[in-house]
Amino acid sequence: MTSRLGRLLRGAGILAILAWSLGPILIGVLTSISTQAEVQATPAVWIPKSISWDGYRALVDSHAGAGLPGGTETAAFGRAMLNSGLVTLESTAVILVLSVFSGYAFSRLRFRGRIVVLAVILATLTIPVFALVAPLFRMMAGLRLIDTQLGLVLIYLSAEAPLAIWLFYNYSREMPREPEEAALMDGCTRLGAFVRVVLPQMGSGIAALTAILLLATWGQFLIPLLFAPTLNSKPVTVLITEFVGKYTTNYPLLAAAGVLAMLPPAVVAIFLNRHIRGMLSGWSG
Amino acid sequence: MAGITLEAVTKIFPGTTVAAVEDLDLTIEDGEFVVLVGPSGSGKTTALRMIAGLEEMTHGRIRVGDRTIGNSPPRTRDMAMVFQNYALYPHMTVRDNMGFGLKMKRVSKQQRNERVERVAAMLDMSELLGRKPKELSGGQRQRVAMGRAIVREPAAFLMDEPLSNLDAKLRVQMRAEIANLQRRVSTTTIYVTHDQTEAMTMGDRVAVLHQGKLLQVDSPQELYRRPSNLFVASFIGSPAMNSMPAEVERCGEGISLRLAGQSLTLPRDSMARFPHLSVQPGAEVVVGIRPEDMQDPSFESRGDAGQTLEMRVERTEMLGAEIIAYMCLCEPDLKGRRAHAEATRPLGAEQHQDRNDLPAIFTARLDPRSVFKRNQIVKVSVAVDRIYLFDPATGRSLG
Repeated sequence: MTSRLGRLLRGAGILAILAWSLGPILIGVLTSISTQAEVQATPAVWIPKSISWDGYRALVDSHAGAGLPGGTETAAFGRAMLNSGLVTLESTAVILVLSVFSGYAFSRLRFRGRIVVLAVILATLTIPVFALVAPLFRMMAGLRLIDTQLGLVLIYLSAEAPLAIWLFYNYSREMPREPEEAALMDGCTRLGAFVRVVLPQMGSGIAALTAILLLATWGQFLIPLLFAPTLNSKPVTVLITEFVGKYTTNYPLLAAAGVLAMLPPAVVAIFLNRHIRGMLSGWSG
Repeated sequence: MAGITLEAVTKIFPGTTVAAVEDLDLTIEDGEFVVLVGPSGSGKTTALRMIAGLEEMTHGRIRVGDRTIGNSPPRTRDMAMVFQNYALYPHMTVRDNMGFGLKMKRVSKQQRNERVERVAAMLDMSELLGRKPKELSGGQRQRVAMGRAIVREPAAFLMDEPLSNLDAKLRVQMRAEIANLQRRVSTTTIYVTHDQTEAMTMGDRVAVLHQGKLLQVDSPQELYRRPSNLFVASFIGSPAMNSMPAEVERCGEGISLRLAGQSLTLPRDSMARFPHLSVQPGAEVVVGIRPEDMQDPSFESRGDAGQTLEMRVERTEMLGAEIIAYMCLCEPDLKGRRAHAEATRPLGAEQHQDRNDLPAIFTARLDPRSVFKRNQIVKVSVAVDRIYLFDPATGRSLG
């Protein structure tokens, strides 16, 4: 009896968690295919009578959006998606290369100040972003990097690389040394052994970190809000907020933008899901 | 192929003051199989890694043939290494694992395949070439590791305890296989192990290391028959040599040894056998007796049961072809001391074997027909002509 009750409670718990996490997505999808009238109707219409693609059409085709409230921003949507994608890919690539090499170097090479340098890099993890925003802004302004993709990549690098370095430092430390030494004996240079023997063994770790970096960078909001004021570099996360008008808001358009912006991270999560789980449950090679 | 010479090779790890390997001088002939043996921490693996170039020497010189290799990187040394845990490349097939060294030497793919297949056939593992290491058993991985070394046809093989991860039966089989293989390819081989049986059965010569120092290097037989010191004497041989302090007395033309109230008289020629022995009154030595040199007098095959020690049998192990008996010397006041030790021993504590507390346990290899029983007081004949004597201060052999 108790076990049945337990199962029932557990089922209810799982349902609640699912509703909590998937509910907003479902509402977003439903809103995106509703009409503005349906969204604003009282009592609320949850399920639209017929599917309306207006929101999506407006985002893809700027002429279609011209007449709608918030329509001026729709032309920018494609550009913002592109900005998001480019900055995410660029910074993920840079962070990966840097952290794989330096994590390995910190764990394997013996050089003066190794521990101190590593500790300083890790210590930066404890500084909250808010504390750095003002000085960072002045610095970026001085370097003329405001509103550039490079500027964003550099900031993400400084924010995300320490953790990535730490992960690869530990990952390298746990990897057996012998295959690498065997490669040295077999005629490799140190770099050769790293590229031919160590790197392929890090495959799952690299995949997991790639997924995490892609997701984290795509979802960045505060930093681009401050450092990416125009479409030169503005990502989709920031642009979407501008769809909220002062007097009226085109909810189907807003929801459609949200749904489209969710797609790339969803694809990443689906394809690299196995590796992310692997990393969360311990770095198993 | 080439011989390898180590001259005063020393390694002091950063942050330590004690040398892990100290002034190691060793010459390995071209095609020779030399085993470095010693307990853990003896410096044998460090020495091997310095030869490989995986560890830098603090000072010293290593020569391969007439080439001095100093601290040059491993890839320039033309040596192949077999590691304890095989160190196969996990993401490569057996074929790629074996061919990797050749690929690095830019040997053409066709030649590479030919050589890999030839060695795989030689090691009887042609059907494994398409597999990944994780699909192989321990023994198969071991074979691949060997194959990877052989394919390269290097100047020397370096093997670091390559059999210690295998089960006992496979270990014995691989031991013979490696030794045979080495003879077939006759490549200079340095083999590290802590297992003296492995050392004795495989090596042309065996180098015994202890605390970073080379104690003796000799053929297995010489090492067993003429150990240069007490450590080598007790490390080589299984069961280990028995040793016990004794007082030396001159006895006519011969020598008499007093061990815990009993005495053994050495034959007349023993002064010649032990040229370094001083027979001052009260001089002390450490007596060494191999287990096979102690016998139940009823089965003494050499007809010389004259020299005996009275012992008490602690335990016997029947092994079929022989009986291993553990015995201690009967001392006049032994009974009292034993009783005291038993009474004061903490519950569950292992039986003490400290020489200063209780007499050392002697191990003897007896004829299987012997009827020695536990707690029996027996006379054990000792082959005094095969006794060893060591300096108690330095451990050096007096022979």
